[in-house]
Amino acid sequence: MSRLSVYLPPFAADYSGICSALFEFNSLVAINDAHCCTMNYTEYDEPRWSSTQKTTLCTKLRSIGAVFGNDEQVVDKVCAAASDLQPDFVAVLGSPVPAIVGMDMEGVACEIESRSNTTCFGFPSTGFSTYEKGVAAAALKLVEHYALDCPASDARGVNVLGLTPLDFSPEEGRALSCLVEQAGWHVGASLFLGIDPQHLCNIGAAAVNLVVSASGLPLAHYLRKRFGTPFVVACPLGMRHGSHVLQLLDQAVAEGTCRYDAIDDTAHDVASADAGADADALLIVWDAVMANSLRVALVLAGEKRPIDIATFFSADAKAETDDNGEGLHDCHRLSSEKDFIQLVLGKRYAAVVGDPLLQRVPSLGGRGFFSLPHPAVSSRLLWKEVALCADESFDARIDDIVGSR
Amino acid sequence: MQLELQNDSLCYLAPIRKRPRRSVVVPESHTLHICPAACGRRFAISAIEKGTSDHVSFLFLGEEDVVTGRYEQDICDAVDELLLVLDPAPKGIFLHFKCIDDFLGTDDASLVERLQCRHPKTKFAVCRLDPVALDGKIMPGMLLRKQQYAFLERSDSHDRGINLVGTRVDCKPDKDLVELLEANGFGPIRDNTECDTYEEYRLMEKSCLNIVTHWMSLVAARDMEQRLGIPFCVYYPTFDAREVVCFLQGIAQALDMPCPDLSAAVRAVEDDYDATGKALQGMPVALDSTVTMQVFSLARTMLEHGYNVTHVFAARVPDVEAESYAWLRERHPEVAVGDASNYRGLFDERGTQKCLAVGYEGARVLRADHYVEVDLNDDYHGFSGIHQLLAEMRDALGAKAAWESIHVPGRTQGGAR
Repeated sequence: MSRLSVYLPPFAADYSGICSALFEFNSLVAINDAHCCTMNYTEYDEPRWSSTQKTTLCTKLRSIGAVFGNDEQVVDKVCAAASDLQPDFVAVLGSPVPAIVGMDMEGVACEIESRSNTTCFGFPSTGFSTYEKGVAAAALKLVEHYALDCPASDARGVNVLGLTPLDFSPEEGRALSCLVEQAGWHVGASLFLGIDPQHLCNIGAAAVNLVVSASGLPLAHYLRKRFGTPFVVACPLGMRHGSHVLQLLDQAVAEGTCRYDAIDDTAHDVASADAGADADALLIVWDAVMANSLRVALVLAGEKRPIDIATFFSADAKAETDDNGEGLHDCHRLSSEKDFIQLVLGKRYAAVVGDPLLQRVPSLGGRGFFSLPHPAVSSRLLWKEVALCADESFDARIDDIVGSR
Repeated sequence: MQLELQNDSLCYLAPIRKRPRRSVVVPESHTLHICPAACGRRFAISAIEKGTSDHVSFLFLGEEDVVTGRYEQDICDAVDELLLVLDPAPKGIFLHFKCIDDFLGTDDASLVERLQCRHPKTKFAVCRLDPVALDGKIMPGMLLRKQQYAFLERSDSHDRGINLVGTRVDCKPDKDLVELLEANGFGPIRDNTECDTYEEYRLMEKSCLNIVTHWMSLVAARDMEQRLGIPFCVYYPTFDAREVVCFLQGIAQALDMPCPDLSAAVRAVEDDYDATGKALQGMPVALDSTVTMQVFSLARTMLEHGYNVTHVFAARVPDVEAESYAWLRERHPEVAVGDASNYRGLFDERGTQKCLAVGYEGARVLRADHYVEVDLNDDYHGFSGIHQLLAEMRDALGAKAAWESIHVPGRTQGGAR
């Protein structure tokens, strides 16, 4: 039963991804639901909710309105709130009930925009998909709407794509900025931690895009197509690996090519071969981009064991390889708890790296485990323990794993 | 049919500030949540927080299920697998559906029958938590409470045990009620939220009377009367001493026992109302439904005692409150009635208000100088419940809320937009 989950919680939903992406804007976000979906986001997927004024509101959808397709009621409520709150833009989001009764959220958005004279985005989110698709959808809509056609005029400008508290600490934006600025770069648009709305307009001016999680990949491809901006798919993890990522940025700009995080790992391959095919391996379960970067970071730190990577999340599988076929193709795609169990049982993994809730799966018994809380998995249970990635403290985590052999 | 208030505007969901510690309402049971992944997230995370995650699992519905209807077979397969994996096997399994099932039309009876045939040693029941149906005749929560007793069966004989039906988790039974029952040889008092084993829970079948401690469990009590042959009386939370007397007299009559003279207890409550009224010195009072879901009755009682009630915050007017609501609208149209979840409250730029808010929700909206923060609503039963609330109100007058330093999620610190 592939869709049965006994040990792991359901993960953050697509609408949470959208809300998370829009959080820092002066926006009015209306989730078209009875109230549970809004509560899922505010209570379980938004660590910033209790510290900042925000307007993610609920339409209080009811059966009669859903059955009779009373879109007008939603439009009226949102227009009234838009008039009161004067946001820069409005977003209306779907949830499971609108999805199954076929409410046209984009149509509703058009109606709101026309009546309120406020830009309105409609998102056909369903609650059936996971957060990274929502983050990606929000990023694309905003950039399609706001980005101005401009030449790549900022030779040391880097946009950061795929940065939300569903993958990272809310403080990660600052940590990343510090890292890139030390190397003479500066962050243009940081989507979506530390975003300055004005930077969205000039997002095409940056020399390169840094994709730090899978949710940033669709936008990176869009920007590549529209502005020709090369991108680097890598999440800086600690200072050692951070330096390596900065080199990738330089290479991408110099060559005008897109780069996925990788190193010349001949030494690692040889060491793994020496250890034999049955050597105990490491398994990293995380966001695909972050897991891939962690693998690179471990090898950079001297890890000799074979390392597999796996993820439950994929914003767009097609976007995860570049034109040369390089990318994240060796990342195991897990569509269910059962996939994870089968993966773990199918190979001699010495240790697993991932969200602590993975340890609830009995098949992990007897294996080493290294915790990397992933908010899209463990929610508020571990918000305070989410690691700062672009920070020297992450080097110690890497050393712990390498030293565990 | 309940009336929803201010359903014409977007709403803001204030975080739940306090949570019950336990949530397994039937011991040794398991709940299979059948829903889109998104709908299950909060149940999973809160179950981990409460230490009850071994009692829940999830079957994720996909968009394709809406079209194919295959999920009913998937449910049967999932239950087969669950019963292989769970050790010890649960005595009962709740199939817990969410909002979208209202539109899928699952055949509950047929599903339970199929599962019962496949697993005769396990009991099955269907539950729904579908807030999208809040516009329906019966509130979703009432049906959910009814299903807490779904695994009970009709007993051939009854003892002198008394069931409390509708008690919140971790809520102690009212002492006036307990004393009355014990003085007349009735007991034990049985409450599913206090049971440690399935067998203990099943003993509720033996009880001779159900006492309904919350109107949300009235549907449950009626079902148990019809299905199990156990009659019921009500003992709702109330702030009117005369009503407490009526409730106790009703219970005494149902159990064919004498009811003691309660006039002294009534006088003590009236004295307490007077003393609290003097302490308030005419200060405006705001009430909200986190204190009691019968907040209009509370407002009426306080107004009848001369209190200056200025605001009542509630999302809806349930049937049980219709009379008090009508009375309030007719006799005191000056009292502002609204839903605290209305987004406008978040952006109201008024400063703090010199008033006493009973309940945090009203306090948050009004930025009340004084407020009573209630742990869990509807814990106020009997005479002691009234005394407790009045004492908390007097205590709150002695402390001024520092809203400048209180975070109100969704609102900037200090309150201004």
